[in-house]
Amino acid sequence: MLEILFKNSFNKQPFLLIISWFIHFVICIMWITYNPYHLSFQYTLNINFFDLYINFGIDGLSFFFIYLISFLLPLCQIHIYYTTSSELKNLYGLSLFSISILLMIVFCSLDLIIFYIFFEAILVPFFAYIGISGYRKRRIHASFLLFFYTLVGSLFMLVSIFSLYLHCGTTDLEIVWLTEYNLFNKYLIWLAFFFSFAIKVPMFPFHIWLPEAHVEAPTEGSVFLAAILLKLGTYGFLRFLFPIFPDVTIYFSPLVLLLASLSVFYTSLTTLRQVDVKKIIAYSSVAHMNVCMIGLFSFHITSLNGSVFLMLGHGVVSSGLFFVIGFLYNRYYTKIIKYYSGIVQTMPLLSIVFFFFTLGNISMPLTSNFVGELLILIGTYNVLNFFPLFLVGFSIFICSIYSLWLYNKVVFLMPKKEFIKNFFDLSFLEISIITPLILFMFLLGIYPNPFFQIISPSITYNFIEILTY
Amino acid sequence: MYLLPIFFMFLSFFFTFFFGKYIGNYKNHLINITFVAVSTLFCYLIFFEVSFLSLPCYIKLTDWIVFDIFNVYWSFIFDSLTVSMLIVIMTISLCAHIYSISYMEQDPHNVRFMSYLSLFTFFMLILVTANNLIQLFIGWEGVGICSYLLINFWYTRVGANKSSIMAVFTNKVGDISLLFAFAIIFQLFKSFDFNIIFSIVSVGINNDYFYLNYYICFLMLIGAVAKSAQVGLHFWLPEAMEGPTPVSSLIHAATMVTAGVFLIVRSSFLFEEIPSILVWISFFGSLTTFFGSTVGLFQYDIKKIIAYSTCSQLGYMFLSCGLSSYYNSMYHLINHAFFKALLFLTAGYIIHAISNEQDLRKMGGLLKKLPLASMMIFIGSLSLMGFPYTSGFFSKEKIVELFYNKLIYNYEIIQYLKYFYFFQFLAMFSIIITICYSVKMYIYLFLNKFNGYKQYVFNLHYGSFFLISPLVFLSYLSIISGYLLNDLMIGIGTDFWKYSLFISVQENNLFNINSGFYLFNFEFIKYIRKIPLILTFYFIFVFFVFFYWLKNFFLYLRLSTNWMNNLFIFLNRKYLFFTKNIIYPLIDIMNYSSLNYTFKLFDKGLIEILGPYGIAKKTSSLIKITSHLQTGLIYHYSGFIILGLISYIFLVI
Repeated sequence: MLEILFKNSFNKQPFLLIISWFIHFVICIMWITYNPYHLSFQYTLNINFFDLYINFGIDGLSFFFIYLISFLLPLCQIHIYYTTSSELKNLYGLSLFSISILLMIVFCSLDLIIFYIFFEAILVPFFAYIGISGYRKRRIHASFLLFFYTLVGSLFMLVSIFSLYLHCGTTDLEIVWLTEYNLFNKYLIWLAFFFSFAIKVPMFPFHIWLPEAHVEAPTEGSVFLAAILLKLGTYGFLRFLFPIFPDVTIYFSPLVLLLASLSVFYTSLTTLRQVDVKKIIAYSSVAHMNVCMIGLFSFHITSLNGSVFLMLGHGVVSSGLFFVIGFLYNRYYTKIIKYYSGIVQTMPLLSIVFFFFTLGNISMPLTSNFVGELLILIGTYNVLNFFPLFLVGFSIFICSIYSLWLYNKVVFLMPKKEFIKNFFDLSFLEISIITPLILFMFLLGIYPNPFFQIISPSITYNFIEILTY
Repeated sequence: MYLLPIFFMFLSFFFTFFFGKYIGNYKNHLINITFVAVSTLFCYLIFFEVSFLSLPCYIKLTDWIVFDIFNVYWSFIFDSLTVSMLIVIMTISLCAHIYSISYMEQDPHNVRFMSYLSLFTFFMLILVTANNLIQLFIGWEGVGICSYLLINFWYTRVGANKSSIMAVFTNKVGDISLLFAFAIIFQLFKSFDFNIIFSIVSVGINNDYFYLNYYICFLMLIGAVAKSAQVGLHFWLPEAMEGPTPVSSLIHAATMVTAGVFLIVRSSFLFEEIPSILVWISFFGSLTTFFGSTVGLFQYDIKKIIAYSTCSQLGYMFLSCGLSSYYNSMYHLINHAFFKALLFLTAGYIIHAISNEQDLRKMGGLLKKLPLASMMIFIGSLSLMGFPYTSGFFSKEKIVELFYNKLIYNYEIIQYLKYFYFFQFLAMFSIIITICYSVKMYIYLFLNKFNGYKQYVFNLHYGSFFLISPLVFLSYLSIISGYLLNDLMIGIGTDFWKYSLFISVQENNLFNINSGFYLFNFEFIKYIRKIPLILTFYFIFVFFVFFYWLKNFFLYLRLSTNWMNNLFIFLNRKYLFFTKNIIYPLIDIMNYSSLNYTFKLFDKGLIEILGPYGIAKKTSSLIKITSHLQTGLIYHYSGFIILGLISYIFLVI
């Protein structure tokens, strides 16, 4: 039985699809049985292996990221199923599956070392995934950039984890939270953590790996990169830096706010002149993630909630946009805007779907991003951070410019007949991929309360020290 | 019953958009119009129940964003202000729907067009019925997006694409300033509900942050200015005339552009607290009236004339708000919606008839060919001019007369008095210019000799019943709406508005005969009352003479001196600086800096050189240097060992 399973010629795709659906089903049941009034970790798992005590658990901060992974995994598996050639199908499916399992473990882990190990372990399948599946030589460069940027950052994190271990005697997160730090080197430890997470977010000077990786990665890779991998950075801030070093976080917050505001301004402007569709979405997701960072470092209850919500919303919207671009790429094998024009006449369904996600990207009310950005704006104003506030407003304005400009260029005007020869609209599988995403986006915008019921108590519980500093 | 109109409009959109193409035009239009008509019927019922039976209604559906101290609910309010907007929106929406059955008959995408109109109406209903600012913002953004889709309806035209993007961007400026205003409102009031905000404001709690009211009002004013196309952020409105004509009539004359006025009227309690912001509102209003009417006079595109006229009339609404007579503003909004929708629809009828020609100079002599259109334009223009006992007469002249009221009673604004004299001059002057361009348009369209191509007359295309019936209906409304609603809405001591908007104390006291102000009320001074009437008659005559019998007078005037010619060019090109040209340099700066500084200098320059590329290059050259050390000779290695040993010893010591 097992031999047949691991034989290369055996098509594992349906099998993987069923497993990922099952995982999604299990996590939906977890959502139903989740108790928002129980403030500490739920569904905990303790592994006692000789001297090692390793804990896993979920709370309101991490739950929806796990849900998002399980939500996106079946969709990506379907996309792999009908796009890739038969030799690579198993490889892609398995690597994506392993990436998502590792990501789930990262979000569940309550131990610094376990977090570090799996944080690094994601790089291996991702490196291979981008390196194999790209369509031009530059993919090697992009995958190396991704690998080394993350690796360099997390080496600093490893050193600081050792330093924390020397101080506490354990790397268990709940004990580390309770320990007091009066060391001088806590500033250095914080900066090391910050460096690692800032590369993942990514913030201004460390961001150039992201557009490269997005452009070279296949659709599913881009979806996972934008929707989940970037959130690891902000999740790291929330999970580790805020509760462990509240005072140092506030001490360094002007620096982070400056970097985040710079990145918002910088990436918004840079996006205006890109010629590659994927690069536009990539830079725009950098801008959105940095809006999240501004929300986090405003230390207001409203903006913290909005930030977590914007991460979730951005995960849905940007993955939808990458899927749409993937559909276009599957037809015409180019991502340069110049070759696209007037596709509304040949693909009306795709242009409807694209318009929904463009609305999401420009934070139209009733979509997910609006709720997040509104809360971030309000929170940022309430702690009187005028400079970041102004830049967030600026980024919303520029975002509407480049999103609608992109939409106009690709969808409207006369079709370029010399480039568009054969055409067909969205197939049934493509509609079945994109419809759940649209529905989820509008659910987040119209009735976000079930999400806030879970997110908000654990934010108040975890960051009470920072909020009342 | 109260939520049914909103629900039906959404159903109308949903059904038409998703299933309309499968069932054919006829059935689709039937179902669509049925939904809209039922919804209109319900709106009239609601109007009857809320305003005449005095039963304001508040509906709280469910929670939207609720956590911690942040509470926003899905809640609807139906007070006199809302219902008076509802009937305007639904009446004109129904007219536009019926009109576009015939107008878009030849268009292959007319089903999509109807669905967009329904979606727009749905968002407009959300806007006016919202009970909190965030829910109002849904409608605010939603109508903007619908406007984008409808302007860009003929998407293969480059002009349509450009002007639709321009509309979205200009509105986005207002949207962002509105978002900032929400942030300040949350800090001050910790709520977005209108009733909570206004009750706190009216009580006047002493708070350290209470001075922020000024900034809230100013930011909201900028939002309203962008939406209502006031001077400074107005250039999107004339550009938006690229869209189909029913769109221009529904969105860019009657409903969406009045959303800014609606916002100000809705939050009138907030604005009334700060007298200096009222001066700003009057400033924008009076300047826009003057600007819109003077530019409209020198345009030759028939739709652009009416668009600039809309700008100018919106200015009157702002002016009325600035003179703290909000119900007058609403009254003018309703009247203006009817006669401006009539003018636009008739303009569409004429354009449709003569082979889509929009240039006024290529028309003329259409009186015999299109008598109905001439009647409609005649009625609409008379209303617009404020001819006695048409709807414009009751509302527009009242707004100009308000200055007397303001200047007599209001002592708070005594320091701004000199500005108000200036505003009064502008408002008075633009009444005359309004008469001028209305007379000019009528003469150019109908009385002059026909000046276009021969094919226009040969291919003359008369509309069907669906094209004409909305025109007739609206023409009746624009004659009688002023007379019908006069006593109800702005009569002395009327309790129509209840507490839905701010009514100044002086206005309430007018009934109080004991107060000495009774005698000075301008309503009872018959000479002042007669001035606008006489002015209207006089100037209609004068301009008719100038444009009809002395046709070449203005041409000779223009050619007489260089200075006059320059003035003509200045006005014809929209004051030169208040056009879209002012934002082109900004776009150039942004494009230049984004390409050369952020992308080339940093992204592909400094960060790559100091980052991965630089390190990769430096390592290869460093490797070459270090590889020279590995010579393979024993004495070199032993020398290094001794060097290391010595340095270690020194370090230890």
